[in-house]
Amino acid sequence: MAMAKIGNFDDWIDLFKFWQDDIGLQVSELKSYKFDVKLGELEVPEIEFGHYKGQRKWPTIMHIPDQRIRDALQNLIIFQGDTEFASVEQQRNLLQNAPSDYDLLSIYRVMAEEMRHGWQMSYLLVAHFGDEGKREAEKLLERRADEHERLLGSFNESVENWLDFFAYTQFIDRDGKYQLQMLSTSAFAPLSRSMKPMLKEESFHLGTGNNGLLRIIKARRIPTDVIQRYLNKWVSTAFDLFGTDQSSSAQWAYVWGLKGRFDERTNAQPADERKLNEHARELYRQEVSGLIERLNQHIPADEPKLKIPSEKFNRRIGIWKGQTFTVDGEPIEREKYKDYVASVTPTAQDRAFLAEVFKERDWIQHKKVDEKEREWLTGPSGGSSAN
Amino acid sequence: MATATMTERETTTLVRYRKEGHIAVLELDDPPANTYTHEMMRQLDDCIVRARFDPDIHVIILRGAGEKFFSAGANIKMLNEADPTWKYYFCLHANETLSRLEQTPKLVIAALNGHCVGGGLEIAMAADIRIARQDAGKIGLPEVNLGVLPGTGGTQRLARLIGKAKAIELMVTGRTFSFEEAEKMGLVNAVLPKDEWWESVLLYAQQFTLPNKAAMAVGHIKRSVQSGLEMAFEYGLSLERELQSQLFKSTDAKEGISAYVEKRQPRFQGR
Repeated sequence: MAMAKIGNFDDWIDLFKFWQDDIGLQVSELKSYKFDVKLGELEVPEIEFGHYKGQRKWPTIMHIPDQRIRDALQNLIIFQGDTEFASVEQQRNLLQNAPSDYDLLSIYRVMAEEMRHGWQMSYLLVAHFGDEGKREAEKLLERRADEHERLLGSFNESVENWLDFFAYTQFIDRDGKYQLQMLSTSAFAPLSRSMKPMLKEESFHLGTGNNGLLRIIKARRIPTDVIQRYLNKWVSTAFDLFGTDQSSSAQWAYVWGLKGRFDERTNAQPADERKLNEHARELYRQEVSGLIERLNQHIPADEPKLKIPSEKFNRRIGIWKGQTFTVDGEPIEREKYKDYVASVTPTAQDRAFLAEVFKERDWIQHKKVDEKEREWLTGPSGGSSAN
Repeated sequence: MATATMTERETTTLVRYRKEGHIAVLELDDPPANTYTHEMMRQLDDCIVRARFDPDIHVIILRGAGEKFFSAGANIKMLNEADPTWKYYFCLHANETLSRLEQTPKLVIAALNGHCVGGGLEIAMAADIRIARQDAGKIGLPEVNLGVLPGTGGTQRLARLIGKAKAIELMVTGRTFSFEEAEKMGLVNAVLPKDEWWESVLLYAQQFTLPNKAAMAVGHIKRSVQSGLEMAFEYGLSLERELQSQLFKSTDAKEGISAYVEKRQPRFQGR
């Protein structure tokens, strides 16, 4: 491994500022956001599951009794941090064409908090993982979504327009909620303590997505079938984010107490350690199904309803990887599959249609910025707390 | 003469011994600075032997009582009252005690709760690992300021730990320095935050005890390094082979491999 260029977290902050400039974040409101490391209370002081259950949570990596656990922990933090910076790279081009002040403020906030989450993960790497951690914190700012260098597939996809953005925050950030929740019970105390503030912030992002899709549906300018294609694009890749089926690394992360189940604190059943990713993915599928049903209540009875694509559709990870299924989960001939996928995910016609619709103001139900939301940007109670 | 002082102290507990699970905690306890006398060394010696013989003990932690001092070294008043011959045997016994600590095949951690200077650091250097409390004090070997040298293994152990040139510089200047600086030069393994420091030290030590780690392997690694480094290279390798041969026959070695195959953490038994 190459030597780290940075000696401490202040050096990393310099690289972070360079990264902001390099990806073209010139917006003054974003640049004035005061980033901070936020550590919540340790809700449960003892390790909550796995081999070390009942022992005190590890305050530093020197307390971790096995090098394999330290390596796996570092990887979990790297993957989490990578997604945070990637999402900003994916969304940054939307700042120029927000449909309203409310939406502009929302995307500022989403992007600022994603960067803060990346900042938090980088801090953990720099503060706890020595030279290797410093080098990995640098690499979080070196990979680029545009170059398809991010570690997970969803984070190399492009977010082209505001329908894309709302679908992304609804489905991909919702996966983020699952990942953060699963890390919130981690045996590594600094990671566990990082999650509560991050989850609180992430909930705004999910709300932005859900609310945005609802406002689009209520405005009735974008046909359901166009919206459906964006759902198909993001939900299938969101399923991939939960990882492989019968995953060894998920099993080890559970045995070592690093990453629990989404419902770890409320699920009295013993974990099926061979199917941890499947369990999380199924909970996610159920939650997303419920949300889609709620959106459907606002679609007129004579119009097609939205639906969650099958878990088998367009998968690049897991047992359905590379297999050919329709969005309804029916098998389809391989020779027809490529064209089929192109027809049920956003098309060139969709993009052209949306580009025209977005020129009008009425494609989305408008919402005014209230004082509480404005205060977030200017402080004192919101995210722009002092560094 | 120091004899009268020694007699008075024979009835006092100067090294407290207690068990925390599989850990023996040896606490140097002679306020205000936990300086050591011959009697304290004898008690320390007894405690080391006691921990050695206890099969339930896998790790030994040395610490000072209170929050200010690990140990400020040898008791100057005692040295001032003693004649040169007594002082010679005092040093010899102290050397033997610390060598016994060093050769005990159980991991020894010096928990530096406060200032660790002179003979205090010499005791700490006979441990395998040193963990300090943030902002708790200074560390160093200032004996030169008294016109003597660090005579309880200090000149030998410091040079082995941080190299000749730096060790000589520190000893001839008598400079004391922060735990953070000591960490940078490799003299201290880690400096931990003062809040919940002791709990943190115990948690760190617990990872080397059963069933978390194969205690016999930990002890043999320590012994192979501590003893092997003092031998010619080929003899060191020979010692390493012999110790490994014992471990190959152990139940714990089989458990380590089985656990890996079965995707679980091993539960070692120390056999």
